[in-house]
Formats: sequence, structure tokens, C-alpha cells
Amino acid sequence: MRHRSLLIISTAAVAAGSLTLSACGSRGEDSGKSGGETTLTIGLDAPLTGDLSALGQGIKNSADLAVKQANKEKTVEGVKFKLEALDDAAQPSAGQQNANKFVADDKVVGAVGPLNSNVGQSMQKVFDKAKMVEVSPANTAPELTQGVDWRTGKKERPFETYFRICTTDAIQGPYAAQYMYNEKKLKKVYVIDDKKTYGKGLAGTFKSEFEDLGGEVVGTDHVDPKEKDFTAVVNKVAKAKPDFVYYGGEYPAGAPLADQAKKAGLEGPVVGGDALFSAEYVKLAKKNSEGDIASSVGAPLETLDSAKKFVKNYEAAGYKLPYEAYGGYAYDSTWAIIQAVKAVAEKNDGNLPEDMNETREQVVEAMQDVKFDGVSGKVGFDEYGDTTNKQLSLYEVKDGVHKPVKTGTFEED
Amino acid sequence: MGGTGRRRGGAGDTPRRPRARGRPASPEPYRSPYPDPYQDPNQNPVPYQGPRQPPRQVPYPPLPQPRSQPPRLQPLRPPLPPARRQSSPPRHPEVLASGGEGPGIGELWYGLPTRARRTAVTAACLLLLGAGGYAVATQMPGSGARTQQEQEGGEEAGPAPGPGTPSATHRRMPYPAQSARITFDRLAVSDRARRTFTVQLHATATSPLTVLDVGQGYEGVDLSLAGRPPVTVNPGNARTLLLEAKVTNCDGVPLRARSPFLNVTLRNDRARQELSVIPGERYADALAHAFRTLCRPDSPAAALQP
Repeated sequence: MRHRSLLIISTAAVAAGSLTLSACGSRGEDSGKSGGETTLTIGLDAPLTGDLSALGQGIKNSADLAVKQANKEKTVEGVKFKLEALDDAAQPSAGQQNANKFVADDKVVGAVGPLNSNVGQSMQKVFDKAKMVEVSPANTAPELTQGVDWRTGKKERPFETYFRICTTDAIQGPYAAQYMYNEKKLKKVYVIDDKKTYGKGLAGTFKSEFEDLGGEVVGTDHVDPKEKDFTAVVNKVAKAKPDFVYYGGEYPAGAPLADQAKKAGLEGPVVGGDALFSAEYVKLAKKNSEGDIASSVGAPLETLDSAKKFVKNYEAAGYKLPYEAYGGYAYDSTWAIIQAVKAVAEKNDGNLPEDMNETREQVVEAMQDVKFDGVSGKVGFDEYGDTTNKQLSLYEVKDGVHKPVKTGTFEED
Repeated sequence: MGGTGRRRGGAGDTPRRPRARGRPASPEPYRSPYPDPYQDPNQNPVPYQGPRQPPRQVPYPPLPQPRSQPPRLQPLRPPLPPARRQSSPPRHPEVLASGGEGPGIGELWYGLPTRARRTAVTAACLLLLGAGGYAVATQMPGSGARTQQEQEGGEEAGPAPGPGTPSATHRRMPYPAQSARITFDRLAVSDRARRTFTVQLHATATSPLTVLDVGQGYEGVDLSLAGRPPVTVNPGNARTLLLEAKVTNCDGVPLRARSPFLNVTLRNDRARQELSVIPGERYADALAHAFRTLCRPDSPAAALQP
């Protein structure tokens, strides 16, 4: 045939073109979306107002940075992420309301937060019922992932949808106890807590280990964190003459407690957990914060190369408030959800399931296998939903700044 | 694509302008001020000057010099009708015209030798099918296309917390505490009379480092790295760290501590760091058991004390 050779080329071109178009267009064919980008929302719950707002705003800004980065890099092809931040004011009831809002929104694929362990407890059931993933950057109460009997060794994961990026008080409290007893050689302690899930639990793990080491608990007490006058308690502390005070609670009460205890005659430091690790603590306790010690999750950011980029990008983004103690963890929590969504899309030939319920379930499944090098180090989750990166550090206030004095890693084989 | 029409005519005939498929005919034929190369077979063909330019209102540039060598492709059929308009310098007659006013694709195609046409067909088919197959392959999951995660280097590598391109910082050696992984293997009481025991640790590293020393921190226990430290740990080459310990004062040892840790001093080219390694419950139980064994009132060591 006269036009045979041209016909052959034409046929080959049409075949190749069809293959190319089918490859490029496959994402849109079966997803049921209207074509173009799909927008997914990541919910964020944190105390954006109130005493802990400094921490909450740092969490929000860092999550926002992660979302912007994912959109800029098109981390999940065809998906644009949006962050919706809701304030819980550190109240469990508000947190639960926010959780209900998130699950009712069919654009929300997962949630980051909260900060407070007691708020986390109020939200877990809501997310679990909706089979929606929740990744906390800051909850440290062991029972959230290991069940109420974790102390006896009977660990049981209560919710498959709950994960966290930070390590737990099961490690934090004893680590501080070992450090104060063995290395600081301080043998007598007065233990105080704020009766909340986090504070009470942390003080309990510290006290237990300190006594097992041979230390002496010269007194225990509770405070109401809403109060700022602790005269009665600090007078008791002064009378007991401990070497130091261990406070299980947050900085809005911990800082004035430290200030008043020193003024009442306490000669040693006030020691506590990650909720004291904030510039706000130093600001509130002023000069009486000098020498105080706080443990916190993770290694110091200045020793993590990945964190330096985060710090640089956070500053470049122009957020008014600093990222604080949990900013890096909030970034990693958000990135973990993004990576889980990506895994779901890859599993489904580049598509996300049309039904958001199905997408949420698959994101929960995918989260268990998420692994990446994050701001806080290597991110991954064990069978309980706890982070596999169990690093923590101790910081001492020196010249008005928290300086790292020790870093540890939990390496159970 | 097929040819758009068949050339006709000879000298004296009004040249019939071939029309490209799908394009409307120009209402007014254009007459080039240049000598028509197709009317004068003795004139050397003008070399191809590139795709046809839109009409210009300025004087035309001079003709380019003819090529010293004849063009590769020679017309086998009667010359093509004169090109339309020619606001730009005339080009080679074998050039594919992009518009409808030059020779059609079919006419140009069949101007080629048969062997050349067959070779071109085969090459074009292979190229097109290969391109289509590549496009399909790279769109499918698990195709091996490097995800951002993989591009950061390795199975566990992830997105940089910032712009996606890894910076020089990522390629620097990490701090030794971020590179080392030290776990507990076993503990054995070596001499009950002397109250000594040994601890065996397993050390790996993702980048070269040395273990300078290991300590426990308990007042009543002397513990140190046995053998001849430092111990070098290289990637892919796990090392056993043997610790020798001696209970010096049973009053100073905890019998129920749940989270004892070891102070490991590490060093690499970047820094020297002390890392607390918390080996977990199994180590805590083994250590507590050793203390109870060595510090029992009826132990041989206790019998030797005044």
C-alpha cells in the first residue's frame, strides 16, 4: 500500500500516545474526583489559648510548616493538604468536641495532637470509633498506648488509631531519678504533682525509681495548677529540708512554685519533666529558675542535623512565636500522616479511595509502617503505637537558658 | 501522516498551491521577489534556513550562500510548485513546510529513498513505543521510581524537614550519639567471692565511631570497659563490648531499680559525646539479680568480711 510506512508510524504513535495518556490520566479515572488536585485536611488540636498557648502555638506553626512543605514539594501527587487548627485550651472537654468536629468533616484524613495527656485520653475514643488516625507530638502518659496496667508489665494497646512521636514518662521519670541520685548525689526529695494525668503519672514514676535506688522521699504534696499562690506547700517544703524538689506538672504552675520555694528557703533545684522545658518557665521563675532541671523528649535539636533545617525553615517562614519544645515533634507528626496518605495512594495505583472512611482506615494501617528521618530523629512506631526513637535529654537552666546536660536513649532489644 | 496532494504542472502552468489538510486557503497568492529555484533547475538549491517565519514588512535579507556540498535528500519527482509568500529567505525544497503553502508531508516523504523511509519507519516506531512504555512504567507504583524518601538515601531515609534537596549538612557525619546503637546481651556473675560480674553489650553504628569508656554511676559499683579501649565500631561490623564490674559496697547498690543506665563515652570525627544507654527491663532484672546474688548475707564475699 502506498501509504503503508506512514500508516505504520501513525499506528505506533497512536499506541504510544494512548499508553502515555492512560498512565498520566489513571489517577483521575477511578478516583471519582473531579480531576486535578484533591484537597485533604489534617486536623490539629492544641492549646492555642491559655497558659500553655506558647507550646500550642509552636505545635500549630510547625504542623503548618510541614503542610506547606508537602504542598510545595507535591509529596503526594495530586493531593494538596490543608491544616485546620482548633483550640482545646488544655481542656479535655474541648478536645473531645474538636475530635467530633474533625471526624464529622469528610475532608479530614487525620489529626495531630493534642499536647496534654488528659486531653488525649478524651479524644482517643472518638478517633478510634471513626477509624481516623491521631498522632500526638507531646502526650507522654504511658497508658495512652500501653494500657492502664502498664506498670505491672501487662501492656495492652487500647487504640489502634493512636500514635505518638515522643517517648513516655515510663522512661522520663526514672531517668531523672537515676541522674539526680547517682550523678548529682542528691538523696532526699520532696515530690509534688498537679493531680493531672501527666503530672501525677510522671511524679509517680520518678518517686518509685528514686526510692528503689535508695533515695529518701521526705514529703509529698499536690497543688491546684490554677492557683498561683503556693505558700502553704512551700513552707512545708522548707521545713522538710529536701535536697531538691521534684514537680510533676506544667510550667504555668511549676515556675511560680519554684520561685516561691526558693524564696521560702529551698537550697536545691526544682526538677521536672518536659512540661517545664520552656523559655516561659525561666521567664516566670526569673532568677530562681537558675539550676533547675527539666527532662524532655528527644535529643537536643542542635545535635540533630535534620533539626537544623527545620529551625532554619521555621525562621524563614516568619512565624511570630517560637516552635518551643514540641515544634519538631509536631512537624514529624504531620509528616507521618502525609507519608501514610502517600503510602495509601501508592497502594491504590496513585488513587485515594473515593470513600473517606475507607481512606481513613487505610491511613491508620499505613501509619504502622511509616518510617522516615524526621526532625526528631528516626521516626517509626512499635506495636503499641509508641515511637521507636526513645531518646530523651536533661536540661539545666544556666544563665537563664536551658542547656543540655545529658542525653539518653532507651534501647530495649 | 499522508500526503496532502499530488504535484502537477510543468513549465507555463499556473502553479497549483498545495493545501495543508485542515487549513483554509489563503485568499491571495503571494509572489516571491526572489528567483524561483523550482523554475530554474540549474540554480543550486538554497539551504534550509529553519521553520517558516511569519510575514514581515521590512526589506528582505540577502540570500544565504549556497552550500558547497549537495544536500543529502534529492527530489525524485518533478519540482514542487513555488513556495508561497516568502517573507523569509527561501529554504530547501525538501523541508517540511509547517503551513499549507509549502510541499506536503506526503510529497516530501516520498521524495526519500525507499531504504531511508523504511529505516525511518522502524526507528520512529521503536522510539514511540519505548516512550509510551516508559511513561506507563514510571506512573505505576513500585516501579522503582525513586520517591523523595528514597532520594534522601536509604530505606529509612525521609524528607528533609525543609526543602527537598539534601544539603551538605545531611552528608556530614552525624553526632556519635545519633550514629550508635548499643543493646544489652547478657550479664554473668564471674566471681562471687570477689563480687565481680561481667556485662556484654552489642554495639553497631551507622558511621565510624569509637567507644572510649562505659560507666554505671552507682557509688557501690566499679564498672569499666574491659580489654584495651577504645573500641572502634564501623558500619556493618558489630562489636561486642565487654564490661567488667565489681561491687565495692553492697550498701550502695540498688536491688530493685527499674531503669538503670550505662554512661557510654563515644567519639567520632565530629564530636565527643556521653550517651546514657538505658538497656531496659532485661538488663534491670539481670543487674538486680546480680546484686542480690553478690550481696546476700550468706555469699562467700560476705563471709570474708570482718
